[in-house]
Amino acid sequence: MSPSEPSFKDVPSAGDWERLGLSDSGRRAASAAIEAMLTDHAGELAPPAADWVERVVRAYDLSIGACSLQVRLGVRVLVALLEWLPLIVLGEASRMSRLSLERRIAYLEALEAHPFAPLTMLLVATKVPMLVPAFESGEALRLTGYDRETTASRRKLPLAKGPSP
Amino acid sequence: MTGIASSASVVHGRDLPRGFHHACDVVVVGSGASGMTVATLLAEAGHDVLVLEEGPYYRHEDIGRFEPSTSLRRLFREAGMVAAVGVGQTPIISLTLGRAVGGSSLLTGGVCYRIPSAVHADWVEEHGLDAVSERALEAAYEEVERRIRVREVPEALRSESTNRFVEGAQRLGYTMRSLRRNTGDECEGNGRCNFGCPAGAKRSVDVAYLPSLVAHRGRIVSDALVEGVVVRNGRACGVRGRLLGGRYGAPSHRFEVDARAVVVCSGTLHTPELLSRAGLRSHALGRLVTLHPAARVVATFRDKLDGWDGALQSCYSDDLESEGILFNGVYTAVNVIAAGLPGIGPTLLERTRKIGHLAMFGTMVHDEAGGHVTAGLGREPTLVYEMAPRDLMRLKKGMRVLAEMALEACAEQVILPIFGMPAITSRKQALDMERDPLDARRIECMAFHPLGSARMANDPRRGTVDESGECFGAPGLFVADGSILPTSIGVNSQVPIMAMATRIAWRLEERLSRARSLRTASV
Repeated sequence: MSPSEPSFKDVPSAGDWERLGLSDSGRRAASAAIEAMLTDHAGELAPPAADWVERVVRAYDLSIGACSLQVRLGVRVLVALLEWLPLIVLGEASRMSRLSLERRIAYLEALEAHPFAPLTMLLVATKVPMLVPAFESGEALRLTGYDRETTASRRKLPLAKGPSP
Repeated sequence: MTGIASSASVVHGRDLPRGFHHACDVVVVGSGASGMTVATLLAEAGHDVLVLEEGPYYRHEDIGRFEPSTSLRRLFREAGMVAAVGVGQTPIISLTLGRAVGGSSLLTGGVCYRIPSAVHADWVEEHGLDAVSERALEAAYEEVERRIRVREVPEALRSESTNRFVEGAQRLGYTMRSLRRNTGDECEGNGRCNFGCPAGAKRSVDVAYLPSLVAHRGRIVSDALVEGVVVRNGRACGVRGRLLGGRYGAPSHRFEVDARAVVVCSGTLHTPELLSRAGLRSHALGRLVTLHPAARVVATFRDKLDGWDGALQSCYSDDLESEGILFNGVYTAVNVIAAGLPGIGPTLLERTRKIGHLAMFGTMVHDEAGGHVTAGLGREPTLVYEMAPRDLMRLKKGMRVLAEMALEACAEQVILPIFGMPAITSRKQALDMERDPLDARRIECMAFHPLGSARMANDPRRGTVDESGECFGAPGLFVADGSILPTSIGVNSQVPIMAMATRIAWRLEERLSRARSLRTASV
């Protein structure tokens, strides 16, 4: 390698176009599902902060955008099914995103425990990738009890005990 | 088209302003564990080598700083959403595959096994493959283990999560041993190897091999999807494809590479299609794929364990190896654990708050060859997998034994990876799970080692490549990735794949050097 050639160490990481993968309706449905999944209980149902949901939806959208056309289409179908299945699962003629928070949670719980395995798989196949970004930073990470600043921080090693004074 | 419009040793294909036509001694398709190994060894021997990698390039230091969702998006194929299509009583099996410079070696927990002696013996006695006997691969194993600095994990680096299962295992009479991993003496126990090591300890191939490759004038073009092998007069003499990763709407630049030898290292799922496009018509191509289906059992304990403090994987038990069951210690990033917990809303958040009380361990099955890779509807192939009833029983037994270990270590409850199943609290319930009929599609299953879609054989009727890795009926076209393994091996496959690739590279080097000498003499 001649001195004028850039060395391997100088090569930066690839850039990122941050492509999104969901349709507008898919994004609305994902947002409604994520809101229900992250709802807490403090005496009564406590919906998650809007900016938290927004951040999780965007991260999910970005991850779908990084996939091949087949997976992008597949996810759109799954999210559409999630949106329209309350009719089958709850017998309610409503989209998931139009259900009240309480009914949305009941609907997703019913899917998760449904005796027909493919419906359970539908829920899991959407829930896990949606929620991976949910608990990886800030207050949400604190919620897990994780004692490092970020998920990429190095372990806090135990301090060596020095000699007694 | 002209040459590569960059003088860098690692070229971002997405940034190239035009396509290219390049000539070299050897073109290697794929930069994972096998591709990087072959390319580096051949470059070190003085050959002009070009590596074409479909995925992007990220610096090792940057990977260690990625949050898990960023790793998934940038390093994992399909952002971690690849799955095998199950047939009949088969779980949906999620597959972890890398798609970046370094391939799946970026995503491992660092576990290093050699192929068990019994498997080597089977390859020699049943398959007639003397070239991959234990003895024949010994030097290659040593070379790989030296470069990636394989060391036994010290007991001090075991997490409390692992320790609980070790405690339970010992009470039940199982032996737990320390795993060997490719972290040298640098591991701090950050517990997130599969998303990038914050301490830079893991010796994935971008760390262990890439510096030597570029120091010996080898080059890599990332974002370069190889779509076909150029065959002239019945001999492979190059590849062609297109560059990926550009801005939406930007033209897709094409490239072509001429080479004396083409080495395909695209992995078990992608290699068959490339070989098929090269005109290969092997009956074995794409068939009899093995996966090592695996499942993770989670247990909750009264006291706080903080299982993230410690090596991601540190212990194993092969006491049930003869039954085709292996137990490997495992953990993962807390946010990924949270995403996989059962429950919605308040139930999920309640469980998330107790992640520090969780311990987990994995079981893996030495499976029969139930997979078949075919061309997919678009760019990605489809893997169809039918789990043998015996493998399903093995998987259930593995889960039962892990549940018993956890309960023996005083776990409050055990969450089995079965959707819709309540947590169990007794060994009887674990036994019931094993004995009772269960819809296999409810099992949360994963696989990390797809192997065997272009198997090595000593006869073209039984396999796709010969003992030197060269395709039957396609001189000049070699395969050196996990697809050539003749059978399932029952253990983590990184070191076995790299050892096989090392041996293939050594043999290829002999041939290329001989041919070069002949050319020089004739001049």
